[in-house]
Amino acid sequence: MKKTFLILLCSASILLSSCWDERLLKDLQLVYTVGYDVGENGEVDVTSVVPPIDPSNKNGTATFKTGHTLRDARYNADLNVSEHIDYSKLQVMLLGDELARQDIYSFLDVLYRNSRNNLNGRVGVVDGSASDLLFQPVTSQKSTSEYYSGIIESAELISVLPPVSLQTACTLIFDPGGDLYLPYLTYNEELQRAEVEGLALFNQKKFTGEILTPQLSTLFTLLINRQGDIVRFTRKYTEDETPEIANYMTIELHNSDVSIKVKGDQQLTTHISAKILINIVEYSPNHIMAENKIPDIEKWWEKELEKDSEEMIQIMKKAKSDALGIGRRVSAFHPEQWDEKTWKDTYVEMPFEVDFEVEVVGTGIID
Amino acid sequence: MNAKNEITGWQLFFLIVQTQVGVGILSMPSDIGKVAKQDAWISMVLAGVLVQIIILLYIFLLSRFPEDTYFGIVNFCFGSILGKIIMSTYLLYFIGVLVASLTNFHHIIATWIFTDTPKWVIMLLFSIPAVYMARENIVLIARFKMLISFMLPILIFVLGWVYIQPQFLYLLPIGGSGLNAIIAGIKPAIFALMGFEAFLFFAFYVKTDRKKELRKGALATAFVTTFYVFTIITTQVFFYIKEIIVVPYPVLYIMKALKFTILERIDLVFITVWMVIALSSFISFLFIAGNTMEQLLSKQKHTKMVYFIMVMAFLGALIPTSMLEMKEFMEVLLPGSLIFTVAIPILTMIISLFKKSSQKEKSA
Repeated sequence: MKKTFLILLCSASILLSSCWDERLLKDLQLVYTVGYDVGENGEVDVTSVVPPIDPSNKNGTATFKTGHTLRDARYNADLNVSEHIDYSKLQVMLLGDELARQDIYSFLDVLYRNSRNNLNGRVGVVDGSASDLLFQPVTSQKSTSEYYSGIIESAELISVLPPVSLQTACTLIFDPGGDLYLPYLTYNEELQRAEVEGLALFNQKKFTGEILTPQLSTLFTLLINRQGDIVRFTRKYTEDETPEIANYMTIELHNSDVSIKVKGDQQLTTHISAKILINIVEYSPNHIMAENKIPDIEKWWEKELEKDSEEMIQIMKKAKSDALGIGRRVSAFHPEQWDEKTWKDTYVEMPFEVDFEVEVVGTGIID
Repeated sequence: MNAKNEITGWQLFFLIVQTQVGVGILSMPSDIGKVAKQDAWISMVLAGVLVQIIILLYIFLLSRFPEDTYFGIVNFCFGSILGKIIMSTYLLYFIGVLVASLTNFHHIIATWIFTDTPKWVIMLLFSIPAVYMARENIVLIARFKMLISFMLPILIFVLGWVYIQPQFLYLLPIGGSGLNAIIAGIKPAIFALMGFEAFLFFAFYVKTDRKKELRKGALATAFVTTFYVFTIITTQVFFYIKEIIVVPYPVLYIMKALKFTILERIDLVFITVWMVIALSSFISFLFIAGNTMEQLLSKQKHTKMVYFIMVMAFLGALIPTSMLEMKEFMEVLLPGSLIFTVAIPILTMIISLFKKSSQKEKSA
C-alpha cells in the first residue's frame, strides 16, 4: 500500500511541473508603452519604452526604435536587449498622426490575435510622430514607461477623455453605426511634459484630423455617458467684475440624465436632451441664494452648454465622424432608413436639436 | 439492482445540466451569431423549446418501459441483432463526442494559456481525473456534479460586469436579421444544447416516484437554455455583431478586457475554474459510453470499458492536428448527432407503440 502511494506521488509530481510554458520575469523585458509611426518607404517604425530595472533610477528607462511590425520589433529588440521582449503588460499604444490617418485596425490586429496581450491598455494619437514624443525628456516622478498611461487615466478621471481601451476601440472600429475617438497627445516644450490636447475624431478606421478641445470633449464625454469621477466646466459668466477672476464661474456635475433619440419619418432628426444637476464650486461674487440669482444662472448655463454642443456637432459633421453613435440608433429604431454605405452623407445632412435642462442643487457650504 | 444504484430527480437535473454545459458555451455565442446575427438569442429560445419537446418524447418513451435501460428498449423494439448494431453505432458516436470534446478542450488551453505544452500532456492531465470519476457508479458521479454546480454562477457573476456599460442598441432591431436567419440559427443552437440525450441513459437510474422525479430532470434543458440566452445577450451588448463573428471565444474575450483592482486577465483564472465544468461534461459521456459497451458485451462492470474507451478517445484525439481538420470532423459529428438524439429515439417510440399493443392483443 505504501509502495503504491509512493509511486503514485512520484509520477504525479512529474506531471505537475509545467516547464513548457514557464516565463520567468527575470528573463523578460516588459514593454509598457509602445509608439507606431510611418517610417521611410511606408514601413512602420515601432518605438518601445520599457521600465527601468532599478526603480530608483528612472532615467534608466530604455527606449528602442526598431522594426516594421510589432512582431518584427520584438524580433529586432531581442538583438540588442539582454532579456526577451514581452508585450503582455502593454499599457499604452501611441499612434503617430500620419499613421492614424491610415487604416489603424491593421496595426492593432496583432494585439487582438495574441492571447497573452492585455486588452485593457489605452490607445492614443500623437501630434506629429510618436517616436519623437517618446524620446522627449519628461519631467515627472513616474518613469516614462508609465507616464503616458498615467496622463490618459487622469484625464479620464476629470472626464476630459472617455475611457477607450484596446477592446472598446475594437468594438467601435467594427461598428458602422458609430465612430472611434481616441485621446490626442502633444508635447509641451515649456513644461517638458506631454499634454492631453483633446479628443481625436475618426471616420471609420481613419483619423480625420479634427480634434475636440478639452472643453468640448468634456461635454462629449458627458453626452455619451462615459464620464469619470469629476465633470467640471468653467465659463465666463460676467464681463465687468474686478478682478478678472471674479467673472468666471466653475460648476461641477452632480448628476446627469442624457437621452439621445432619433425621431421622424422621412426626415430623421436627432434630439439630444440632457437634464443635469450641478453644484457651483467657484464663483467669488457671493450671495447667489440671497439675490435669487439661481434661475438666471440655470438659464445661462443651459444656453452656454447648448451653444457648445452645437459647436461640437458642427466639428463632428465636418469630420464626418459619428462619434455619438447616431447611426447605431438609426439602424436600431429606423432599420428601413439605415444604409451602411450612404450613412455618412445622411449624417452630415441630419438636423440636430439640443436641449439642456440645468438645475443648481448646491453652492458649497456658503451661499 | 440494489438501492445504492439510484438517483433522485434533482440529481438527474444536475447530471443533465453538467452534461450539456461544457466548453461549448465559450464559443457558442459566436457560432450562433454567425448565422442569426443580433437575433441569436431568439434562435436559442426556439432551440430550447424544440429540445424540451424532444425531452418530453423521451419521458413518454421511457415511462412505457420503467424496468428497462434505453438499450433494453432498443433491443426490445428492433430485435437483438439490429439492436446490437444500433448500440454499436451509439458507442461509435459517443467515442466521437469524446474525441471532439478532448480536442476542443486542448484547443482552448493551447491557444489561450499553454502555447508550448505538448498536446498529449494536456489531454493526459484531462483524462486521468475523467477516468477516475467515470469508472465509479452513478451515485458518486451525481454527487460530484451537484458539488461542482456552484461554479456555474461564477460565469454569471463575471459577465455581470458587462452591464456597467451595456450597449443594448446592438440587440435592435429585434427580428432584423429575418425569419430565415433565425430559423437557420436554430441548428447551431441545438448543437450547443447537445448533451440532453444523456437523459435517455441517466433516467434509468431514477426509480422511486418515477413520473414526478423525471419531470424535475426535464427542467435541466430549460435551465441551460436560460443560462445560454443570458450568455448570448451579454456578449451581444458588449461586442458589435461583426466583431463576435471574428472572435471565436467571445466569453473569454470579454473577460480579457475586464480589469479589477487587483486582478487582471481574469480569463485565465476563469478557464481554470471552467475546466472542471468541461471535465464534468466529459465524464458523463465517458460513463455513458462505458455503460453502453458493458451492455453490448453483456458484462457486469463498466470499469474496464471506461479504460478502453478512454484510450480509444485519447488516440483518436491525437489524429486531428489542424483547426481545419477539427472543423471537418465537427461538420460530420454534429449533424450525425441528430440521428442519435432525435431520429432513433422517435423511431423506437413509434415501433414500441405497435409492439406493445400487439403484445396486449396476444395476452388478451
